[in-house]
Amino acid sequence: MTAGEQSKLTDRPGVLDGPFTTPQLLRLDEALRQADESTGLTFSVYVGELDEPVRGHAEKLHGQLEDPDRSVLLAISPNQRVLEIVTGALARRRIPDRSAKLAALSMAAAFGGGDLAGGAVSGLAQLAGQAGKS
Amino acid sequence: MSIQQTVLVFAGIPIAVVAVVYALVYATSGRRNSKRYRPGRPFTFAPVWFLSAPERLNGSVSSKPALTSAGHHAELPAGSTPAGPLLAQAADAPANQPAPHGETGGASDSW
Repeated sequence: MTAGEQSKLTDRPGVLDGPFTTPQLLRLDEALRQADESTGLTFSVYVGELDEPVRGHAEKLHGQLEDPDRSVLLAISPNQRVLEIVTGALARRRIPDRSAKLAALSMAAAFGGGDLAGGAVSGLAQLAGQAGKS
Repeated sequence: MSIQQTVLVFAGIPIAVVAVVYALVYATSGRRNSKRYRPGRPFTFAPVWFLSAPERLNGSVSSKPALTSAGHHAELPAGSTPAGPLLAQAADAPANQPAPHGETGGASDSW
């Protein structure tokens, strides 16, 4: 979706000052778009500080999405070294907690090696594959 | 060859090559990797939130107060959102935001 790409790159130029290089941002955008299109769910990735309790803050962010029931949020806090996957009520039926845990495990392994973008992209692919077609 | 020439050829040239390679490596990778996240080092960047369609965010991050205040049908054509999927989704979306949602699932991990 070009509208998403454009507004990400023009409305929020701060993203380009972040820890991600431009190719990484493009890969992340492509992974999000593919996950959304193939599953019909809304995937999003948050990278930043999470307040304590971490799980509660991640769920609050998840609640800010337009349709939380059909949304999946990956909240990554590099400082606290914590990763939270939040699935809405409908998304949870398609992505069981066990599969989410498996994705979280592989993402955490990538993050432990310092690869934020790669871990997020592979985690998105894994979750989207688990959710299957819409 | 005199002593000076010998030293220049067998010590000076290798040192010059080493210095050039060293300078090249640090001039390129030193700058590029400074932003990279490394576990254990402080992460000082502003929080970012990636969505394939940023219009789907209700909260304060998005510059779209129109979506939170009133129904979708009245507000969406007025806004400059050209996205087709958003309109298709908005047709069955509840008008009052934030929508009440059920329990959430998922997983946690740390590294």
